[in-house]
Amino acid sequence: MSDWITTMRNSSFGPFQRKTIRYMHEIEQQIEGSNAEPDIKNATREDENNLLEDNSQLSEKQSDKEPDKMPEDQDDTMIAADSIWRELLQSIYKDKKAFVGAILVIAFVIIALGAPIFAPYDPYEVDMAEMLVPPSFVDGAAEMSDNSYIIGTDFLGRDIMSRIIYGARISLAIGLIPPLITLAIGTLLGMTAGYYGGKTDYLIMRLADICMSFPSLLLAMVVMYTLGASLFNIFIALSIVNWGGTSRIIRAQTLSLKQKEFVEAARSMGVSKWKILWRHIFPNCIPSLIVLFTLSVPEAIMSEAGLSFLGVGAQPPMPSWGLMISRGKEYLFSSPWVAITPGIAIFIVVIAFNFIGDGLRDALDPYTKHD
Amino acid sequence: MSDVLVINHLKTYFKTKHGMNPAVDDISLKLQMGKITALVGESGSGKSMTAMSILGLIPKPSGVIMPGSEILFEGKDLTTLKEREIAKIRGNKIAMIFQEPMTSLNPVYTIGKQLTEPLRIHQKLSKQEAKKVAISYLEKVRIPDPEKRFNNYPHQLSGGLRQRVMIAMAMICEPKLIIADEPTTALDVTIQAQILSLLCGVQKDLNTAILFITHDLGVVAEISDTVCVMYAGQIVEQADVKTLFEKPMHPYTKGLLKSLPRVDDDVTELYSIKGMVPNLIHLPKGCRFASRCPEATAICHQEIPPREMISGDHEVFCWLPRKEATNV
Amino acid sequence: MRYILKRLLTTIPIIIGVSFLLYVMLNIVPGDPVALMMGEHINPDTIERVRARMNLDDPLMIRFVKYLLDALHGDFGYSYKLKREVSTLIWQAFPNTLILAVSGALVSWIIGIPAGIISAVKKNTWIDYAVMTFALIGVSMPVFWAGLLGQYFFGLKLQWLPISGFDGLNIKYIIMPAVVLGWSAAATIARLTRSSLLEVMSSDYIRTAREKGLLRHQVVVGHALKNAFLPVITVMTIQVASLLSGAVITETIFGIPGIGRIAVSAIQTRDMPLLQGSVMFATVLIILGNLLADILYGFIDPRIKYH
Repeated sequence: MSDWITTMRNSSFGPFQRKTIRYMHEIEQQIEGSNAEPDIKNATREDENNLLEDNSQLSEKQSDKEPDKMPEDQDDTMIAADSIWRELLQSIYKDKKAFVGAILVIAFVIIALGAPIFAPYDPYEVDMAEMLVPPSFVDGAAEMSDNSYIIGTDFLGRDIMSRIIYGARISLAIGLIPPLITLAIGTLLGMTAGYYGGKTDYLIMRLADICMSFPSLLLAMVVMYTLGASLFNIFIALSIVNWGGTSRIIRAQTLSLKQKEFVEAARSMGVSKWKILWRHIFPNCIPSLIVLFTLSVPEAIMSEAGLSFLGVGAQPPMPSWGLMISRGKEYLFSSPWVAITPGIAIFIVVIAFNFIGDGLRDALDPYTKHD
Repeated sequence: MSDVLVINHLKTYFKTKHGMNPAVDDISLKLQMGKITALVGESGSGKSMTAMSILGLIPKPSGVIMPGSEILFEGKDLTTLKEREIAKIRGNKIAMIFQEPMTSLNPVYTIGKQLTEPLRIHQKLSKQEAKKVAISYLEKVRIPDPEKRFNNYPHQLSGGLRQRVMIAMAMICEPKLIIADEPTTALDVTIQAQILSLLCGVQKDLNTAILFITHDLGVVAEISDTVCVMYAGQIVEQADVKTLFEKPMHPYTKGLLKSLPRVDDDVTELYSIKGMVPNLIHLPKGCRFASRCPEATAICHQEIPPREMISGDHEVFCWLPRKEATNV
Repeated sequence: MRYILKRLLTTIPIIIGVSFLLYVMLNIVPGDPVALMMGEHINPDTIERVRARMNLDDPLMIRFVKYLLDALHGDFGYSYKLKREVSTLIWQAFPNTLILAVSGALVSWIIGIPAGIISAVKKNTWIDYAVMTFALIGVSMPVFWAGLLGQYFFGLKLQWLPISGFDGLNIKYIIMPAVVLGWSAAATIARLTRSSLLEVMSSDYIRTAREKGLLRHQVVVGHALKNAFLPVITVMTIQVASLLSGAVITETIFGIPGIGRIAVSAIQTRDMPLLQGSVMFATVLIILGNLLADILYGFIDPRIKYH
């Protein structure tokens, strides 16, 4: 079941729309618990087998447990933030793919933050004499220029390596900010819809339906038309386009959490609605949010690259990776490095996040793990 | 009285990260024609794995039937058969009924298609012929309006009806042996009784042997002829149903019987066996039940107990009979 | 039938909502849209005429309703930049996009479904690992980059295929864009088919089928695939949207005169009626596509009709 989500990490465009639909579908199924669904109950089939296999771990765990930490004592009102992070790190560490992904992502962040230190040249410095110099490892490179450029220069004589390194800053920001805003909007609306129900719910969910009906690249393009093409506006476009999926998932979780005893108890004690949402419901949504976040980071990076590639995103001379590919494609046949190399950067960053996403999803998602 | 199936020294092990897990560890038992043999034990005791071993459906590659094991059926050792050969036996001469009627039927096909499938595979009947037979069996398991049900999808049937369909499906090729793996566990009590009586009727009709797997001793008392009690992958006591209930020898069996709620007793609190099933990968040296056994002595922890024949077919895997013999 | 009707009824408000959102977003652009469209040197008469043609003097809501009613009759307005009816432009471009999207979808199914099945059947063997590695690469590769790589290697270096251009149903020109477009979708489908099939294979009814005496491959074909395809179908329908999004980029790279190209150039030339028409057309198409797929799903999964 869990793999459905991974697999949803689909093509290039359309930040988490597709996979969230699938993901959400799954969660809704589980919550509604339609009995006819074969996948929910099949756990029992392997029971015997699993029990046998897990026997050892189980008894080890039991014996490890200190007496004061028996299950009854554990407060089940919320998942302790501490344990989430521990599980998260553990899962990254255990899973080799996720580990490699984490190292790549850390390298990416370091490079982005320390761009001025790592970049060998000024990424904006135009030097027409040094136009389209091939990468330094290519044979003819030394004859073209006295300077050595690791992966060559572009059509304005700018060092591509430096531009890619500075471009990492754009991608990092795009990968972090719009997904966070999207999640914030989606969580807020989803919790509101789920908790209040009725007309509020109906309105919010229909709006989500409408937003999700657009192919998100087209919707982002329309927003870019309205706001005007610029890097800053991409942030806005990507932030407001994709909240639909998140809100559906959070709504579904809120609906199920609302009926849990600890929420009922809090309500009966007169705890205010917002406090219940914030203190009791939100913490239980965190694991799903983390999974959603790791899934949406690469999608956001790809979307920015796509919009910039189409010329409706970042504008020259910004070192946006998508824009660099777009501008370099005219020289594809004579100087292929100009367009190809920024693509490698996108590819590596995206695959790194996908690695992590795969691992985290298995570790953190309560809906695909135990229920 | 003829034996339909004879299991000799069956060992089914599972490879795990922590070592070999002896899910079924040296089991021998005989199933006789026209008799119901109950296999009783807690979950994880290896009951279902015994059944899966008979049908050659052990999950591979983690599950292995160890050399030396023998499952004799109609003169053939099932453990040595090729997949193609054993497939001809499955559903044909040995059929199985599972514990989850809600999920054991494929949701996207009609009852009819699934019911006629064994006939179509094993007896190569045409669609029309198979349908006739199938409907007669639906009648036999007392499903009302069988013609209509034939074209229904599983989700249109209740749990009880689905289990009847499963029984019809198991019967349909008139097998020599039916393995029923907790067939009533997932059902309501009233329906449980109906299904059990149906199963007994079927058994009388076809004179098949039934291996009835359950954890419910109440059910065992009701329907079975012979009982095998399993604990941690081994059969700890084996006897006919009357003997077992009247003169249980093994402390585990005694514990199980004591934990049954009784109408005639005035005990307010139910008895429960203390402790838990040992870790099968790191087994204790002696008897596997020793750590939970109220009657255990030093030797129980040290040495593996002998298999003691008490009378005719009453066998116990325990030190107790011997200790009693020396004391007296 | 009731299910189909119900789905139809929920689709209509969504289409209206989508159109409204789109209309509002495109019509709140600051500045006089006519001046923006026509450039600076036009006489006031023309402006008046254009404003009247676009109903610009009405309140937003009225304009929207008028637009929607016109659109229902196939009139999406007039492109002043290209001096053509928007609907004419769309209908010219639509077949090209359709060819591209359908062939992209075919590629994704032809590669993705068998790959996923093989991978599941050969679980944890080198074939499985190879397929899944390819799939991961597939989902991580930006369409436009894959397109450029294709052009460079298969177009320029190997000269197997034309670098760009489009010639109706001429297969030579379709192959590369279709593979580029379908590649990542194929990866998604392969991963999903694999996990879905594996999950189905561990279910009770598959055990029942095995117990009946069916061999493993008979069970896969006869009992598992139909169940395993249910989630795959859902995803395929959702992918129609992503294929169309991908088509925008693929069309730009390979110079295919389709709807995506129209939309991109409309943004660049700030041709609002054209952008509005093409995006609305594409979106409604996707919504209808999803509707169709939902209905199809209902035919395959017997449980749907009764819920």
